[in-house]
Parts: sequence; C-alpha cells; structure tokens
Amino acid sequence: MPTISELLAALPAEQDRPDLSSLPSASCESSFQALTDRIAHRRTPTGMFARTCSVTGLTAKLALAYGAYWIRSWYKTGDQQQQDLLETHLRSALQTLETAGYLRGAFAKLGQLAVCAPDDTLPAAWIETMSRLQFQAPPMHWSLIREQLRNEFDDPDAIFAEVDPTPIAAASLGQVHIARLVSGETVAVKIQYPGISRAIRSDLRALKMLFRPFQSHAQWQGLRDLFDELQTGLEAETNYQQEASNLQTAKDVLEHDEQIVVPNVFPNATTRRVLTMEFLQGEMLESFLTKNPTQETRNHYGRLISKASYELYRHHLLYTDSHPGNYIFMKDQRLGVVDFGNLRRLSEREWDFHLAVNHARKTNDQGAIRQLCQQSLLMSNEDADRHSTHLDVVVKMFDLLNEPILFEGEFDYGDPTYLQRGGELFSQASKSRWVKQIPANLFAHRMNFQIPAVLLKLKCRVNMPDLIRECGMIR
Amino acid sequence: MRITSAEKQATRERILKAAKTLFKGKGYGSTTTRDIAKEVGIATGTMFNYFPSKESIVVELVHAASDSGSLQSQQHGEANSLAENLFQVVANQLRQWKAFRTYFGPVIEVAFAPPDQLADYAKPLRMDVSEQLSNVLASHGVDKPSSLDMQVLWSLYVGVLTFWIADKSRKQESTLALLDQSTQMFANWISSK
Repeated sequence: MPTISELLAALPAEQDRPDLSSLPSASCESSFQALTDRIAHRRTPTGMFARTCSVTGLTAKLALAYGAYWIRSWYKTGDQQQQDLLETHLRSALQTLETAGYLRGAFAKLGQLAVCAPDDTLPAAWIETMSRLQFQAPPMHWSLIREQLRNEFDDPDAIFAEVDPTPIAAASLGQVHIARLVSGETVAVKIQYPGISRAIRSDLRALKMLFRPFQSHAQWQGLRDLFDELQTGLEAETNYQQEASNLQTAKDVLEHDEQIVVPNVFPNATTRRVLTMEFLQGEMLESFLTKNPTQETRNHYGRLISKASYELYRHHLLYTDSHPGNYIFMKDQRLGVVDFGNLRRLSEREWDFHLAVNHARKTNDQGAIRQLCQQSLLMSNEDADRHSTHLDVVVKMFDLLNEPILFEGEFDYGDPTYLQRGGELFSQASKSRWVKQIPANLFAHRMNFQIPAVLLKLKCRVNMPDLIRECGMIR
Repeated sequence: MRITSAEKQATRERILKAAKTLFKGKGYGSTTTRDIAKEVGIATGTMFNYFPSKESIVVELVHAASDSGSLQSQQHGEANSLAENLFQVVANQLRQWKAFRTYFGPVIEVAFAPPDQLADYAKPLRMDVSEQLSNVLASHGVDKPSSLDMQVLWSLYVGVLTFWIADKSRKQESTLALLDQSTQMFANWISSK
C-alpha cells in the first residue's frame, strides 16, 4: 500500500490541474457539441494494450482527482471544500464521458447506472453529461449492422424479410432496429457492437490488475467478491441468449397480469449477439410525459412499474434494469418491460437473508434490523463498534427504503425530498472506509434506487401496502 | 500430342480444387506441391507448368473467390459515406476469403508486398483490390488521391488483413470493429485535408 506521503507526491500539482474554463460545461451547448464530436470520431480500440492504457489512464485520473479532493479537504473550509468537490465531480464526469464514448460497453453501462442515481447523489453536471451519453451513443452504420447479422446467421435473408436501417434506440452494448420476419411478425432486433463482449472482458482484466496493490488490504476479499459480482453481471449482459432466457423467466412470472407485457422472444432469430423480440408499440417515458398525463394515469403506470419489480422479487429475482428507456407506455394503459439483460436470481441463502429482513421490518424489530444491516456489511461485532457511524447510515438507508412500504395510503414518489434524503445518506455512506458488503447488495441497491428514480420522473403516487397485499406477502 | 486450351484449363481447375481440399484437410503448411500433383494425378514437374509455387496456387484461389462485380453494385446502391463504403468493400472481401483465412499469410506476403517485389502471378489480384479501393474513393469525389493517401489506406488495409488472420475472437468480430475503426480513421484523414 502506498503511504500518504507517496500519494501526496503522486498528486497533480495545482498548475497541472486542467483549466476548467477550457472544459465544456453541461450548460455550454457549443462546447459540449465539440466534446461529443471528438468522441464520435474516436473509435473503439480493439487491442488489449490500447484498451488497458485507456482504462488505466481513466481510473488513475479519477483516483487522483478524488484523492486530491479527499486529502486537500482536510485543510480547507467548508465553502472551499464544496467548490473543490464540484470541480472534481465535473472533471470526472467529463473524463468518464470521454472514455465511456471511447470504450463503450462496460463504461456505457456504468454511465447508465449513474443516470438512475437520485438527482442529488451526483451533481447535476454528471447527470446531464451521462444522460447525453445514454441517448447519444455513437451509432453503427448499416453496413456494420448487416455484417453482424451475416456473422450471426448463415442466411439472414431466410430469417429477416426486412430490417429498417435506421435504429430506433441505442442500447449500451448495441442498438435496436425494427424488422419484419419472413414469417410476417414485426420485431425489435437488438444487435451488439462487434467485439464488445471481448472488450468488456479485457477492460475487467485491466481493472482487476489495478486492484492488485490492495491485495494485502483487510477488506480485499470483500472487494474481490464485489468485483466478481460486477464481472458476472456484465458478462451475462453481453450474452443475448442469456437475456432471451431471462425474458422468458420474467414472462412466466408476469404473464398472469394482462397489463404488464414482456415481449416474446424469437429463438430462431436470436444468438449471443442478436436478440429478436416482439415489437411493442408505445411511447418512451420522456415522450409520454410531454402529453401531460393525468395524475391518475401516472399513478396507474407507477403502480405497474412497482408491481413488475415486486412480482419478480417475490420469485427471488432482482430486476436491475429499471431505467426510463426500458419501459414502454402502451395503448390500453398497458406497460411494456423490455430489457432483462441483468436479472439476478437470489440464491437460497440470500433469499433466507431477505426473509429475515422482511420479518424484522414487519415486526419493526430495531435490534434485529441493526443486526441484519451489520450482517449485510459482513461486519464482526468489533468492526461494528469501530465503524458504528457507517452502520448507523446503512440502518437509516434501510429505514428510508421501507418508508413507502410502511406508509398506509398513497406514497408520493414525485416528492423529490425522498430521493434527496437517499442521496444524502448515499453520499455519507460512500465517504466511509468500509467497502465490504454482501455481493448481492450491489444489485439490490441498484434496484432500490433505480425504481424510485423512475417513479420520481413519472411524478406518481403508489399505495405500496395495498400493492403488496394484492400481489401476496413474501413468505 | 498437343494439349488443347480447354484441357489445360480443366487441369488448372483440378489442381486448384485438389489444393483447396488438401489445404483444408492437411493444412497449408503440411501440404507440398508433390502432394497436390499426386492428388491430381500429374507429375510434379508438370504442375509447375501451371503454377510456379504453392503460394501462386493460394493467390489464384483467393482471386477466384473474389466477386468484384457484386461488390461494385452493392457499394453504389446502399452505403452513403466514404467510411461505410470502404467498410462494405473490405467486409465483403473478408467474407469471400473466409475459407482461406488460416493460410492467408502467404497471400499478404506475395500479393500485398511493395510493388517492386510483386510476383507476376500476384498482379491480377493486387490490381483488382487496388481498383476496388480506388473506385470507392472516386465515387466520393477523391479522384486523384495523393501517394500519401494511398499509402495510408494501404497500410490500414493490410493491417486489417493481418489482424484478421490471427483474430481469435468469436467469428472474427474484433476484425469488424477494427475495420470500422480503420475506415473511419481514413475518412477523417481525407476529410481533414
């Protein structure tokens, strides 16, 4: 482990820090355009060396940027600290955006994760730049799409009668086109960028190498477990046959509800790199909101979004792809749920833990709740004493997440203070030096923050106790 | 006894067919010209009247597999940018040459060598490829590319082919990414002038 003095020596000097005035800010449209143009002209590097350099460079920059802030903050006043933090966030957002555009794949996925974070967890500049990344991923031209189809199917013409060359959506790992099958059905075809799966593996290997110096750290095992969880999840997302299987699993769970629609998969037109699904006609959230839906309609869709997630959870599945682009607001008040790249099944042991958590919540047993939070952080009693502040924050987060469930009546997800409080706790938790936790928490946290973030955008109210009674209690 | 040109052509095709089968079965490196002659049922010396070397056979196989006519019609019909057009032409070539990928190295050595080192038998393939690339440039208004332009394009082209030979990714999808990257890079080079 490097010493503090070594870290300080490695920090960029003040004069080496980028001139922020030369960097585009989220509010400066023309400069932002220049940045996105630069990214659009940069292509995905395929070599391990080039990719390692990029990832290493980015990670080192981010680590140094935050390291600089952290160490300097010991000596600064509150106002100055706030200013420095904002600058650090902005620089990091821009650097992440540049590299995300460059490496696509894994970082685009992480970029999307950031978009779903509560508004106050990350600064507005970050959210803004990442939102643009989510919807302005560099497109694949039609000839590249066609080559991918030829690569995947011996004779794509025998499967697809027609493919619209213009994509309808950019996915983090590819893009989506409308097509018509030879058998006549209109379908949505998700096509992956060539080599992206290999690129992600290469990125993860590079990141793993970066973590090596921390092997002797007391929390190394916990870090490695979290990393392995992230790796498994990302790798699963690159396999569209796995996603097809997840779609079927979700469909089996949700098909009893006529108002929640999971698209059918066409297995003969699906491979590891191409996923062909039934095309669901409808609107995305942004477009849906421009029509000023009534509060009743908003509540209806909010309830369906919550219900889909809760039903899957009852079947031991964590739906961790809940971002606005994955919901289709269909005619007849139906909701389409389209992306299941990352459906995490809880093991029996993990489920038993969730049952214990649910029981503690129902009985409002504060002692048990604290004990379970301690377990989820993999803390011994000694650790819990030493890191009691962090444990307190996690218990508060647990209470916060339960508020909508315990609130009798319609909980107002449109009230931004709910997620702001979550953001504050999240921010406090991230300052802790305790990083260990149960690996499944990564996905549970993702789900627990993503869904309220979507519901906030929808500005809906949902009666959660009523919904839970309707679906059935967890046993 | 005089051998008619039709008989010569038939023997030539039998040699190519036998070579292709042997390269696939035994591997290019393990197949000798003697093996090919034996498979066709001719003397090794006779075979040299048709092909001066094993490399010349594989170059001929690759050339025969190239369907330049279909390339031209496709490139004008669908793609709309220089980068995409170049991508399309090279991607088509790679698909047509797929069966020869594992022993494409000798083709690069003899057919894509500097002009002064080019064997006569390799010239038709080289000329066809050059013409295809030049036609794409011309169709995007680059009628008179400089020698530096062509050097850049040629370096990228040979680089992609070399990468493709050793590409261990599934269905050589990394080559597609590299080709996309290279053609975009070249289009940027041309447009920045």
